[in-house]
Amino acid sequence: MRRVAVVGVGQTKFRTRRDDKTHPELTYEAMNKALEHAGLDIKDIQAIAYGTMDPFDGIYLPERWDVTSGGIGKPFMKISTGGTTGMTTGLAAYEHVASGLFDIAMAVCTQRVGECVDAQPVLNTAVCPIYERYSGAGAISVAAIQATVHMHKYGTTEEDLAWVSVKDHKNALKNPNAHIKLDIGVEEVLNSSVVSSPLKLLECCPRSDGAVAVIFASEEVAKKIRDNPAWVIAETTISDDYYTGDRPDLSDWDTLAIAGRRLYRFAGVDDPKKDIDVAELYSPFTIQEVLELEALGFAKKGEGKNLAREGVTFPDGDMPTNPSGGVLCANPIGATGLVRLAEASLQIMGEASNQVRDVDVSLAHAWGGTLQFHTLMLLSAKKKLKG
Amino acid sequence: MKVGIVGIGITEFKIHDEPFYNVAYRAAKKAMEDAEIERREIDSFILGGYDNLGVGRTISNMYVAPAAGGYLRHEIRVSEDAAFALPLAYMRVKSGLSDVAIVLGFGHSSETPVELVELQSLDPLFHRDLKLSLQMGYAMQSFVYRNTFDVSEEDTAKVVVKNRKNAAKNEYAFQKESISEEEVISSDMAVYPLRKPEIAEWCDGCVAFVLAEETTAKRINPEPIWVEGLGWTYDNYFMGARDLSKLFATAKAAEMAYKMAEAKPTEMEAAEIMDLTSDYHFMILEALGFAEYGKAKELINSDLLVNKSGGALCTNAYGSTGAFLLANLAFQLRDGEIDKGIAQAMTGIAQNAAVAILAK
Repeated sequence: MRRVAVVGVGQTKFRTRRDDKTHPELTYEAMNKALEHAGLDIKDIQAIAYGTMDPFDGIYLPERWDVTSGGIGKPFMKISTGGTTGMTTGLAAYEHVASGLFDIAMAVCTQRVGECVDAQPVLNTAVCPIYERYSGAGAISVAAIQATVHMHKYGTTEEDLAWVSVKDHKNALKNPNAHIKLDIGVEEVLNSSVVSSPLKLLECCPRSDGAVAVIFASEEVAKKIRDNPAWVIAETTISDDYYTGDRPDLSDWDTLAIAGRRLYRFAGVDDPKKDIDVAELYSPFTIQEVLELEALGFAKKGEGKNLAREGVTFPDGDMPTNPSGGVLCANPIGATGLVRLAEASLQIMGEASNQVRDVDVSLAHAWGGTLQFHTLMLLSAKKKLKG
Repeated sequence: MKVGIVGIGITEFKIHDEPFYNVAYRAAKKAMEDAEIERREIDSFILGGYDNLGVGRTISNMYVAPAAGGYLRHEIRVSEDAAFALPLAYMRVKSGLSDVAIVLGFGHSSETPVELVELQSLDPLFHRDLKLSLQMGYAMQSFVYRNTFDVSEEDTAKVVVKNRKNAAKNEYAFQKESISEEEVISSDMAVYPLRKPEIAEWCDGCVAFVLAEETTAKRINPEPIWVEGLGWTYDNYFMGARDLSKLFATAKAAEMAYKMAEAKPTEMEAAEIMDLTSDYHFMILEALGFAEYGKAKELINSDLLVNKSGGALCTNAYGSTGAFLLANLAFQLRDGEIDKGIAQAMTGIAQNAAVAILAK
């Protein structure tokens, strides 16, 4: 199989609104930053995978406008899969190069959640209009059920979850692109207003505007571009059933566990705790990092709640998660997954704003739908993990 | 290593009143039955179609992925027409990440007022206040094309007559009523200079293809249809910056597909093209290299088999029209009528295009 690496990353600043720029201008900003990072010109980019979620931005099919940011005349493909959009767009760009059709391809995602009045009613239009829409299901309400079930089954406390928020917010202070920058402690999290019980304001992601671009290159080209590329070791995506009510147990993200198992088998990961040095997880709500840690094998079931409180997931801990500040501190929804991939790549390159020490292998993750989809990508400083 | 189509499933194209995941399910199931494989043998589910306003449901892959059979499998959705999903499925198989993949194109035009929906794709600064509907954009191109190349109403009416004749013989086509040249020319004006029968009507329908890498493909089907060339691209968003008499995106995508297939237009024995208007029929043929610019009207009685399916003028489901055309080209290859052919799709006001060359 053709080896492919991430060779350039560009991100805009993520803010509540980016009124200073139009949709294609935001796209252009991220693309230019990635090109600058890779030392490339737009002429060098042979194909582009573009991602966004249409319903938030006040414009439908914005790819048609955004192609003016540098894509006219190039193979240009729009990907949209819900919350996983960023990761699947990265995956599509990766496949452009892995197939041998192209040597350099770019993934770029732009989102302006600030253009919509409220993201939750929009997300409610994703669920089945006959059976689930009138339940008011959205991302927050579903995450709140996950938290409630986990608390009931494993005794997870509000304080346990608050520690995840404290960790991510402290990390975001070092990230110049992060949207939310608050130096907070457990008390502040616990005292913040309840959004959807038991989740509180500081346990929920913001709605952000911004864009991100990631450049993939084939082995021969990557070596010429930089001496510290992030090699793509493995990828996987998975879909669950449509109906949230059909999930067998919301205290256990079993589809992510299945996807993780497939990823690890392909990559040759024997023990994720030992083999993976840092993870950028898609955790817009604190409980979800706990579930993800358990599903991905970083903690036993019911013990993910302890990791932030014990410092394990802090940058100097044994299994750092979201050193960028994660989704809790910036969430341009359809671009958020690609931010995870960008940050996981920067960790491999040793160029992250909140760099974890001695990173050899990093994991990027996104989930989407109403807990329906997961996409994972494993990156490494080496071309393969074993041998 | 080649990539082949080993199974095709297509639903009736009409206005479907039932929950649409049933229609998607039927297309996928038919494709699997056609390939004589089970769902568990497919590792990747590549969906193609619109989202949100375009189908009445946000994150449309949420309901289409399970309907296609993607439960606990790899799934991804390519937006715009499903013809854009074929290249992604091809690349996933070609890269070795997949052995057997399915492409499912879904188009559910009846769920939303597509004209109003497409108005939301206009940027808020320059285009939105113009309220430039798809049909208005089509008409602008027709006006420029007819005036630049001296194309008459009689010329374009012939396209409608021919497509309708072909559609009448296609069990999956939507618009099958026969029409005469005189009837086209005397029909109501929709948007000048386009008359009502010269603009495609909306319908619903799904198409699925099973794709496999060469060795596996031959195991599944002794005579796969090979994907030999692919091209896809976008033109400028701003119509004022485009030559409206030509289809840049189609020409560019075709150039890429011909290069990949190491083929020339003269080698194509059939074409299935997304003629959303009668003028686009000519403009697409020119962009594909079958005639000089302005001369495609002379092809109407040529040996080149164009739109045996009836084309988009007779079957146009928002999101799956290109997949419908691809399937119909594949049927011609499978039936031994041709050895090589080309399919083309485009969306918006012809801003983008996806082209595929298929061969036996």
